[in-house]
Amino acid sequence: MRDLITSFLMLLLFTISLGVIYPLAVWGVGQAFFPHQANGSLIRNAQGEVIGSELIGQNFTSPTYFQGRPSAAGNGYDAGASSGSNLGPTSEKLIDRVKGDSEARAAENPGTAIPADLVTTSGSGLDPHISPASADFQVARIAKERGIPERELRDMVSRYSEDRTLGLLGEPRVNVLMLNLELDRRFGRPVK
Amino acid sequence: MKKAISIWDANIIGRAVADSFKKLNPLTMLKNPVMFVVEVGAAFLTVRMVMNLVMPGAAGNFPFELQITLWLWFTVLFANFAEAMAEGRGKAQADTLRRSRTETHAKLLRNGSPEVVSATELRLDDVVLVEAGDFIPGDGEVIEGVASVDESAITGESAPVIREAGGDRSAVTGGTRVLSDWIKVRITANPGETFIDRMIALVEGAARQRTPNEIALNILLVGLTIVFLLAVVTLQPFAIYSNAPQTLFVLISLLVCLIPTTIGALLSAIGIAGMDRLVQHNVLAMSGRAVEAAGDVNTLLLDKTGTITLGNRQATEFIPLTGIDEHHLADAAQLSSSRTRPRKAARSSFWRSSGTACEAGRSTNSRRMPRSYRSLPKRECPASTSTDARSGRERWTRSRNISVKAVLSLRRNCGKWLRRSRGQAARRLWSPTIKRPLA
Amino acid sequence: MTTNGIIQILIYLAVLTVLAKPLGIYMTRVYAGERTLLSFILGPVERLFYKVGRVDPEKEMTWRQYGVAMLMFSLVSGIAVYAIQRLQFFLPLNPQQLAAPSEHSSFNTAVSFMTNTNWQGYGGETTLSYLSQMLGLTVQNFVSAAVGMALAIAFIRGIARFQTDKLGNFWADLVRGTLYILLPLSFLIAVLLVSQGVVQNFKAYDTANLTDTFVVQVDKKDDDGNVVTDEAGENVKEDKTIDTQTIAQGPAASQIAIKQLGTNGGGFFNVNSAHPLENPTPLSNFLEMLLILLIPVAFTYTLGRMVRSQGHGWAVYGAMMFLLVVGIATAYIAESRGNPLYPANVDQAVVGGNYEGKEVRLGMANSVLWATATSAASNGSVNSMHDSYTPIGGLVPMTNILLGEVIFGGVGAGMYGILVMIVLTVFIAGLMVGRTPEYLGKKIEAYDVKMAMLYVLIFPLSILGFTAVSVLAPDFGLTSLNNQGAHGLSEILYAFTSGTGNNGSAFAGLNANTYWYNTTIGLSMLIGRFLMIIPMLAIAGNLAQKKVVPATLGTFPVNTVLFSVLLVSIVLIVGALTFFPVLSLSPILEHFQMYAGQTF
Repeated sequence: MRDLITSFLMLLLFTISLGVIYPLAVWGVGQAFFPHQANGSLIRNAQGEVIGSELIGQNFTSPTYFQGRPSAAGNGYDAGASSGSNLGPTSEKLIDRVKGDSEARAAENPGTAIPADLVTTSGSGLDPHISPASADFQVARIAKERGIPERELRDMVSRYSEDRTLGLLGEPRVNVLMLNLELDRRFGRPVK
Repeated sequence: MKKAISIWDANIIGRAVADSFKKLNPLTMLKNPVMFVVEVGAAFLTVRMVMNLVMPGAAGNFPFELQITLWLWFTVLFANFAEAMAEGRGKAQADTLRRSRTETHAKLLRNGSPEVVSATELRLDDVVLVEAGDFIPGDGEVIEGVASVDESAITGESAPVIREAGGDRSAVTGGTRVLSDWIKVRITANPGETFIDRMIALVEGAARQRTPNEIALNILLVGLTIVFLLAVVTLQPFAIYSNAPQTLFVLISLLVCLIPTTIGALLSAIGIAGMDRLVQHNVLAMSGRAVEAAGDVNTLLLDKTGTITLGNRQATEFIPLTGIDEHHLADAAQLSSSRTRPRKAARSSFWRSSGTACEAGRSTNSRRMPRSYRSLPKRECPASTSTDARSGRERWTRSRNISVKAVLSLRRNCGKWLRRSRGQAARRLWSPTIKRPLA
Repeated sequence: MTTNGIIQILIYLAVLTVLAKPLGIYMTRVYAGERTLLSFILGPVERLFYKVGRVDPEKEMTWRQYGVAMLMFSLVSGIAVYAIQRLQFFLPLNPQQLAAPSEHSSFNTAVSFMTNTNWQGYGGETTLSYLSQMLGLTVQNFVSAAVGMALAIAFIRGIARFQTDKLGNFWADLVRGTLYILLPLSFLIAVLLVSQGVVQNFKAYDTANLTDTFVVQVDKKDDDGNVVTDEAGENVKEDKTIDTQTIAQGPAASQIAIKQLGTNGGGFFNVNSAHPLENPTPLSNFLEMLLILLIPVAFTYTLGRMVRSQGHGWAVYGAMMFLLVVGIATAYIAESRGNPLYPANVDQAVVGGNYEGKEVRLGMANSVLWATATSAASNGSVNSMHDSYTPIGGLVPMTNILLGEVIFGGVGAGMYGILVMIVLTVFIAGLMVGRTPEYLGKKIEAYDVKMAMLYVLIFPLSILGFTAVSVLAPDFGLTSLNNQGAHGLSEILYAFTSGTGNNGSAFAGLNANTYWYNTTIGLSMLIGRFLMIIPMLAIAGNLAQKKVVPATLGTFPVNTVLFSVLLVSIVLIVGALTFFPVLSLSPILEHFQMYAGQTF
């Protein structure tokens, strides 16, 4: 019985210190020193509206944009309901989907083999990046659609590519949303 | 405690085979849970195999099923056989002991006058008269008289001991022999409960208790058996899910493969064999705990520094010092061997008979001592200035002009020599206080 | 496998090992009650705790008292989390106005966080309000970790002490572990994570206008909100243009730091550390991954220090590291081979292998490293979807948990788990040598072996039992499957494995938010935690009372490579033999089916 009371009192103290003070302390420091990151690394347009986050991917289906990975989050890149496909490697659903996607990509970007990240869903469904190979894969199509020389496009892609952190950690990657926003900024927003 | 019994003795094997079938009794098998599981499995499979044969429409692969079932039964029988073989040796030893326990007669004192009865008819508190030359019929207490008793059959003590009424030397053991005078003994143990009976029971393994490590290991094995039983039982639902349900034969075979069958089968055999091994060396392990404790020992402190006694000793050779006649030496040795302090007498007698004391300083190569001794020159030894605290030895060594250092060196080397010697007599050395061979 | 991948893994293991010693020494000092550099700030807080709780930290407890205190505390915690969830609609900090989760879901979550499992049958950002996450989950992340650590320290004290029946004071250990070890490290890491982009705010979810709108097919709903069906009974679909994106927010960083450090694993968002706002950059990934194994590795150093045989600590570390590296290598090789069923024009090699369920910024090496580490450490957080791993790739996390969570294991839980296996190893080794088995001078007797076997037995009983029943139940067991065939069996098996092992990761395709799974997985978590702690504490109490026998020539040394090898063998034999039958019907079978070209 004594233990019961002690448990309750201890839990109360823990709740206050760890459940209230600690998150508030982190929030305070975060908002003071890293407000942009702490609030979601949001991107705003000229009017101040939120048009996305640097860290969250978006669904691009038009041929004039660089396309990202397929997404199993909600209807596609639903950042309020993150999810992966959770399909196993022998799943018929998975193989059919990959076949379908690969045919669609091959049709849009004829030529080389399709890098696997363009036909596989990410774990979160919100992956903002694609591999440099995937960006390269799509350059020809976009150059044609938008009427831009390929070399200029490749320069832009390499400027928006991030390398491995400290040269060692992670993978080289291209942020699709940022790249597409830059495309729009330089070459104008295409009419839908 | 006679010569070692070969394990391939036909009697033992025959008996073991019979026992292995007798041990199939489930109540006996229950003591060994791992093998009990195998036995139950074998029984299930036998029934199933017969059902598959007899019942119409039941599909079964008879050759496969028969083979599996036979293998399982063989496993169980082999385990029993191993245990029975191990017990067999002990039983053979016990039989030998029983035979050596001669059918004794006792002079029962009823109403004052002696009446000859068989020793097995004696009961608690009976009084018997034991005279010179008689065997004491059972464990008891001396209530009248005093006699010298030869206890070599039980203790291995070479020289006779004195047993008298009153005091702390009044207990006598059945099977020992009175050498001189007479005593009246009150029986304190019923037949079947005497010291020899208990020894027989221990050797036979009938009253064998599990050693502590054996118990712990048994728990480990039982635990593992349960775990694997669980793994196999739950395998069938998974197999059903995967559209491949397994037959009972496959499942039980898998179970027997997983559980620690080998250790489970041989564990009790190992325990018994361990105790029997000691009996081969004339050591009685009074309990399993003692065996395990002995295994943990690495330093042995004895309070006796090398007492050497021969049970029912015989002198094999008399080596006199310079100027002494061999026959004189033999007479003196025999006369002095019945002195009141038997242990010391034995010691001094032997030392005198080998007389290497004057080789003081030279490390006597104990192994070659008997043969080469004659060729070694014997020289006069200097007078000793012994500072040994033991007055008796002091007197003796001084009187014989032998240095104490030489004596001690002799004593040390004799032990080694005796241990390594091949002679049968040398093997059977008993230390009277420890009841354990030094070799 | 790429060179860079191997280098990343080696750097990780190196940093981990280097940090083991300082943290190990610090932990020893904290639990011994000595002053450390943080005593200046946290000392008064610690004393406040004792005063309010009316606890005397010097008053030591027997193993029974320790166990009872621990059980009471866990019980109260569980009830608190349950209550917070059920009342969350009425409590503040619920900007999305989320209703209370169902009773079975709340039960499951309460049990889950209280047992340091952090199995989440729910999706974080769609189910729990900020307050529930903060007051319920974050707090439990701290204290359940501290409870585990306290238990491990109690066990080590049982080994180190002799001829006493006291194992320490539970409340003191709990408070000290939380305040001096978990809290400072969490705060530091949380701030670092925020700098990388992990969110920490209390605002409502943001809505972003999409740059490129798209059209999807959704079920047509009439004015009442019911789905319209045509004559054949099929749902009528209509087009819908999606032009906004809801971006979830919340006080994530504070929770994520402790989620990793305390080997809890319960993420803020549904997909855990695959979510870009929970794990934005490779550096945040490295930090979070480091935290998974940091305290468990340091515990091996603490073990060595407290029993005054540092070699023993390193021997245990060696055994665990060996198993970890084997796991990493196996998973990495398996995943790098990719999925053979993909069409030929898909280039898997350029990205590194089987990329379904993985994140581009993290890559193959970090994904398999995290998967192996998290399952070895009973953490349970993920940065890639285990359900989409190749069969052998998914076998590695499963096996890590099935071996008993002793490859470093959870904070504390891994240490006392490996100590029970050490008792068994020493017992068997002693019998092989022919002497009474002894561990660091204490003789291992029948009672210790009995308790150790009980500990070993309960684990497969729960996993195999529940899985077998679920597999035979088409109505409530098999309906939750996301994948059919052998992979489906893997999903169910993994769920109960993760629950009993208090891991918390999942083959997330399984819909575990049903009455059956919430209840049974909840029960398996309770079994895996408390029913296994009690035999463990009994052994500790028994060991503490024994006399110490000095080491002799015949003693089996526990600080040698031979000991590590024997320990690894015993762990593998006991674990592998028990579970090999069921594994042969799930991942192993699937592996062969995949290469035969079969799909389900």
